[in-house]
Amino acid sequence: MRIPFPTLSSFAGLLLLAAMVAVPNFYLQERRPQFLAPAVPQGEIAAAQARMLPQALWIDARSFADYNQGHMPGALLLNEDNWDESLPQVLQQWKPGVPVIVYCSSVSCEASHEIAKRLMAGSVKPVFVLHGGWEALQKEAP
Amino acid sequence: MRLLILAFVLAAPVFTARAELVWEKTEQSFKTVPGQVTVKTSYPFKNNGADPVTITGLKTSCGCTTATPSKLTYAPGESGTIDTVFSIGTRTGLQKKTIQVETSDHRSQELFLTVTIPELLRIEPSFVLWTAGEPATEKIVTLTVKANPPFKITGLKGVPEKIKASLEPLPDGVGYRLHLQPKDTASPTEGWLELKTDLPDDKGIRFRVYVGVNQADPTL
Repeated sequence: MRIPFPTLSSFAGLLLLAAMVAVPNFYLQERRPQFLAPAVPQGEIAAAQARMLPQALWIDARSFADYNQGHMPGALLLNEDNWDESLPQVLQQWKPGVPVIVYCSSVSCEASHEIAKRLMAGSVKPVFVLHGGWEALQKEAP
Repeated sequence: MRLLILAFVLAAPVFTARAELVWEKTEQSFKTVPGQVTVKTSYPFKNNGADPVTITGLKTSCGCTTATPSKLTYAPGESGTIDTVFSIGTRTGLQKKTIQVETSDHRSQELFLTVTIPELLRIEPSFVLWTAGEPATEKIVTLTVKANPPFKITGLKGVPEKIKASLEPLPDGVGYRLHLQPKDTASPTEGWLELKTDLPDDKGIRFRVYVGVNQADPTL
């Protein structure tokens, strides 16, 4: 029995059909309403929400080099390398009840979680990790 | 004819693929020793392809890790290395870092670095803070010696002004409670309290706890 082999034209037609579905989907993905956005894990805060807070202490947990290239205005650098040097300034700036937002480079970066954990262990509260990190901040930049 | 076209399409990746950079090893693991500041290592490779290859991008998963190529472009048959430096800082435990190498032949290679940093002493919490006007109640820091063999915490030094501090050894032989209490929270004070141990001084190992009473109206 001869198995029919798809012609090049029918193959091209299939590709076109796939593109007609994929392209608008991609477009909509970039502009999907907030209620359709993936949930932010507990303990984290989305960049858009963080920017709307009336008061917050921003902590940059990236390297000194990254911080120097650009950071959230007013953010203090506090990471596992300069913890001893920078902690006093952070604690002197912090006021009880004012949320602390910690960010590092991206969603896969763990440094912000470690810094947040250390701050919370010392009774600094509330502390949130910025979901998506610096990359998310730049996407949400006004 | 159709079968010929299908065979060509399926075989095309084989004809166009040229083994370019070949890596001696893509994963390395280290365990640090007390007092160590960095972990330095290299990832050697060789260009086994027929064309020169240029390293177009190097990205590390952490700012604590730097990666530098021995040079940018490698002729066919030429060898090179990616040299990495991992900074230990105040990190402890298992650290897994990646280095992504991108090359001019549109390939990407991930290199893995695992560093185990033994925790010598667990300090929980690592700092203690009172805010102005808060009741000057005692706060306790729990110290647990994790080193094997365990060392002894023998005393305290550098206790900040207006802070009362005392060390209580626990019956298990490895635990201690550090009792801290300010005389009052009306005026600010702050500083690093250092733990004295029976470890040799030449190891350069220091354990500290930050203690502070914040001022009444810090500027944000």
